Amino acid sequence: MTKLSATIRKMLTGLTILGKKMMFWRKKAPAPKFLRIRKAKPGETVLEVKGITKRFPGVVANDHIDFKIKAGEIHGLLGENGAGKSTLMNIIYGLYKADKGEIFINGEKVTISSPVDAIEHKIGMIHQHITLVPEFTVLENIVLGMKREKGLLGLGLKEERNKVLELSKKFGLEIPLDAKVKELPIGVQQKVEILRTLYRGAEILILDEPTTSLVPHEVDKLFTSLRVMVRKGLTIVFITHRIREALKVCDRITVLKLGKVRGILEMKGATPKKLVEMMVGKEIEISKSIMFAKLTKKRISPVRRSKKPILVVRNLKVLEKKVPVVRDCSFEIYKGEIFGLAGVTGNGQKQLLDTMIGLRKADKGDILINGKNIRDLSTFDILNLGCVYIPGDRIKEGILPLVTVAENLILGCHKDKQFCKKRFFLSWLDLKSLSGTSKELISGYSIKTPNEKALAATLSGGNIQRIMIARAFSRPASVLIADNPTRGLDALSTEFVLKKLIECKSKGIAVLLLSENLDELLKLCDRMGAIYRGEIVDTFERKNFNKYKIGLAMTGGRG
Amino acid sequence: MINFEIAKLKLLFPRLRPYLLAVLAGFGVVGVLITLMGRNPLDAFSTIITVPLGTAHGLTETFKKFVPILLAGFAYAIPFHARLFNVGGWGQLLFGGIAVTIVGLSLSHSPPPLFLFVPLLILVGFLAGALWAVVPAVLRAYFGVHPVISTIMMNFIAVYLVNYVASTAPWAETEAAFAGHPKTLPLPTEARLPPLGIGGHAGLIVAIIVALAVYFLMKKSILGYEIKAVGANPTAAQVFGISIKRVTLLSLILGGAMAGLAGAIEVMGVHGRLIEGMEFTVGASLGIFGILSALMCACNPIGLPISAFFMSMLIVGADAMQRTMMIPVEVVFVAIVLMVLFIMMLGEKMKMR
Amino acid sequence: MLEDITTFLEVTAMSIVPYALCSLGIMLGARTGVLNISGEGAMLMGASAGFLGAYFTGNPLIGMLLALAAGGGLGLIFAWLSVGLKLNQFMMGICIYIFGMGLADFIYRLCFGVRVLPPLIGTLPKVAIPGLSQIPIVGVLFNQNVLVYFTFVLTLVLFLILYKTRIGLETRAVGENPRAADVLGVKVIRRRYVCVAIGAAMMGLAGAYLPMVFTGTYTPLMSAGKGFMAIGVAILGSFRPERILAGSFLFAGAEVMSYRLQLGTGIPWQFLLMLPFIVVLIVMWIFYKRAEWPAAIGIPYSRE
Repeated sequence: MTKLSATIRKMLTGLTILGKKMMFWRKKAPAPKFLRIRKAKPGETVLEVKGITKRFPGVVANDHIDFKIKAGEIHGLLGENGAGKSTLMNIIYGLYKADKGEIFINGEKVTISSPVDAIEHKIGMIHQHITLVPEFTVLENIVLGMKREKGLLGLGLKEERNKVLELSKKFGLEIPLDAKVKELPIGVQQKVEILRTLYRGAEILILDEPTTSLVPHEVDKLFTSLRVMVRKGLTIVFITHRIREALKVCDRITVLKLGKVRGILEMKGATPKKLVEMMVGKEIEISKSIMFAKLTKKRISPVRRSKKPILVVRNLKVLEKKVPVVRDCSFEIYKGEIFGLAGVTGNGQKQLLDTMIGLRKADKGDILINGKNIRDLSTFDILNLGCVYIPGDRIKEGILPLVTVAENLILGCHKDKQFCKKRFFLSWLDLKSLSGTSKELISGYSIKTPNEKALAATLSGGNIQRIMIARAFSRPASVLIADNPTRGLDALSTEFVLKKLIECKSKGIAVLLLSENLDELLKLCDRMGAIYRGEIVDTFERKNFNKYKIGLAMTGGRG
Repeated sequence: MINFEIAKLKLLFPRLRPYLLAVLAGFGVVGVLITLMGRNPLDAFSTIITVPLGTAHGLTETFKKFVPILLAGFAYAIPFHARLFNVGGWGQLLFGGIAVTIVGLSLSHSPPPLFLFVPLLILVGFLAGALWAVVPAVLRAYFGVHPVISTIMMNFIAVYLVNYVASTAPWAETEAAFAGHPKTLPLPTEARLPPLGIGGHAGLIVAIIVALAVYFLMKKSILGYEIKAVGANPTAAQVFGISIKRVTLLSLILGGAMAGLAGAIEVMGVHGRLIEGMEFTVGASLGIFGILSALMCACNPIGLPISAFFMSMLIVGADAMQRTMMIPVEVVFVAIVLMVLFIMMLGEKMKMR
Repeated sequence: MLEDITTFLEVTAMSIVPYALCSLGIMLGARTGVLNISGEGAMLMGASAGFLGAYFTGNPLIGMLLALAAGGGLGLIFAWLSVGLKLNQFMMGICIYIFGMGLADFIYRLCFGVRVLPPLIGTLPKVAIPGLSQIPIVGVLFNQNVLVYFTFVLTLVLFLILYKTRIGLETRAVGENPRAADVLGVKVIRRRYVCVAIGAAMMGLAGAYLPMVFTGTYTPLMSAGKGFMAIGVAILGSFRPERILAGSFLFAGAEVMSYRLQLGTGIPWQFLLMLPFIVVLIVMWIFYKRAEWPAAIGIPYSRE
């Protein structure tokens, strides 16, 4: 008997120790609150920052920024990639700590040292990259991090469910609460993120580049939702680098350049020209710029359409875990033509590109380059057939971080005769030739680096992209596959990439250009295909380019 | 010319600072431990340093330990550049020894002359170590299994295999098996590495050749480039045409071969037979010491011989310390691990700066 | 035949603890995105500390608490290196494994020196749960020592916490998408430290089980790879408590079979002892790619 009681005592002690540890973890996060009467009336300053400065190693991201938002407005924060917009907002949201500066809410000075504080001050942020847990359901994601209304443990979500349903009806954001987030399209995921901030009682909503993955009619829907929210008492900060969008939806626009505030414009006085000048200044000659050129149906440079296409994809089918992600995909690209692939991320583009490069095996269908079927070839062989590739995620797929710039530049051509010497059965690198070529490339492509022996990880995003471009363009090629080559780049680098793409036309290279940025595609491409769920839904000639029709095709509708 | 050398040395010194700091810190902590045990730490330190370097016997023993530790270090270091953690040096070393013993004993009736037999057996050891790494290599390349788990399983399997070979006819020396210390019959003299005076045995020559080959491999060869590329970013490497499967297989198998060489040399040069437990010294297996040496120099092919030598020095010194001062050898082992930890922490802090 | 099954169940249940406890510890850390492979080192430290505690105080409970502390201490060091300093988790795991292995021997040697006859402690007695232990065949599961019951209860508790509570939701979120959790105010770094430390404490306890139940003394390397097999169990179980318990049963069963088969068949015992390791290899071969991993595993988290 005593042995049994000793056992029971031991188990109870163990459990209580566990229980005490759980108590220790409990934070004091606020219970979900709902929209009450705001303290600030429309027109008054609801959020102000003064003198915010933030330095990262080697760069001043925010340089003494003063910034004001009035209650009830949609305030645009405009600037090119790298101007410091996200940094400023991350400071306001408590993810970063400013080196200097103060934040005021409704006129009172506040300290925000973590997202918990920001949430308490009714600030909500929707980030550029989805911050949802893909494995969890929508409801679980919304409720994550909040304490239960009643009771200690348990995940029974009845009360929370009702509150969320109320909110979603109020703001017109209908979403399936029990679906796993990973199964939802990006537009819906964004709604979940918005609902998540509203559930926590946010009154100031910060949206960081929310239109990146949206097609034109979804963008319109978003803007309508934003106006509804503002009417119901919210204030919105809209971060973007797209001038047209800012002009469409914002009441006032603050322009950031290189970490400093360049100006604040009211809607009445704002024109695209003024904004571009503020954003980019004298770095780019706006009249000659491609980025800021008007959208016309004129071709940028002519294409001599030859009879036979260089790249042919025919009835391609690719499976992923037994589910087709690319189905019956067919298109052709001719010599000197830029063919755009327009599609929302996640519709099979990545898998299509992977298959074309030889990283995946197609289930059915053919891929032909200059008549030769490359479907079952290895990546190495495909690259040697004159196919060059610029991957979409430069950090994940583009560079070798802890390796020198020189070694990065020859990735893919390291077995070429100019770099590789063979004797008997051994082969080794010709370091002199490597060093010479990389120096040429560094100057030819304006890659900012102390020397070719620096580690690639020390370079900025723009310069890493230049390495990838240099790599792609320094080999004789007949096909170029570029996946979002201007993603996240500052204006100067974007200009450079676009120029290089257009050069391909005169070199006779067939270019497959993938981009989330429909404007970019509209400017550069000769023809465009819209991809939806792994199928090319429709192909458009340049003279028939219509933003909305293409956007519709991108979400599956056929015009 | 001279200015160039001085300039190089000047460049080297700041880089050496973290190592010196870490070594001193390691010694410091251990000094505290030794004092707590009631002994004089300075005596201990002097024994540790003077015996291996000062006495002829000590130096020979140091070289004898240096060879397998260096090779075991390569066994970890080569796959490390591809971000693969080969913790199986222990098992690969043992299997190399097993293979060499079996082949050696089976030819013991009419052994070929030494200048043929020894290189043959060395090759056998090389291939055996490679073979023992094939299973983890294939599991990783084709099935994604993390090499840490698979190589450690192979380690334990090898340990039991050693016991079997050393306890079973026709290889075993039967009385020893019954006494609980299994060992095999001795190898014929033609199978043994000739002694090399103060350098221990001819295995030292093998080690030097291998070290040069590894340097060439990692710094200059295409395979070395591909291994580094896969280690830096496997996705990017694959996108640009490097076959990850091939690199994985080759680097792990090559690493295993290194350890197999170590095992072969141990059997042929030091013991003359396969003895259970021969791979242990100062509380851990030679494979573990190889890993520690590699960690200490961040798997740099030039730094490895230096840290392996340093490691062997400490081991021999620790042994002497235990004999003369009754301080348990594990003290030095703890010191070594602390040094490695400090080096890794300091290395990270240097990067952050 | 029935008797064979009964004894098999009895011995397997007894052997399940080291695998299960260690694996649950790995799971706890892994759920927050930290894969702690130093289990073998933590187990050895726990074995050494647990044995020394029990020997010098005569009370096995003190030994268990010391083992928890030893494991937890190693876990904190590991957490500091991999979460705080953001060094590579696998390298740190190997280092801490070596460190734990050496330290365990060291403190044992310090207390006992080299002895011919090893010091012994009494092994843990079995406690029968009245009623349940009378059930034929399965009843033997309820006639085990305290730690076996503790393991079963712990599995259930961890399951409930992870899947049925808010804290569990947050913990899992940290392992799936730490940025998402951070943005909502969950303290990612702290959560990782806590889970890794508690997990490592469990590993220590698993190690203490070995001297306290099987051998009565401490021998160097007595865990014989169980710490690493526990990683295999965790992977096999897709980091879920209930599946980990089942997987541990499989591996414990393989171990028990390897002893049993020595009597019947003519296979040399060395090959039979290889059986559990071969089982792990085969299991990994089949299941590694099918296992579900927390998405953020192995990646250190920082806001910038």
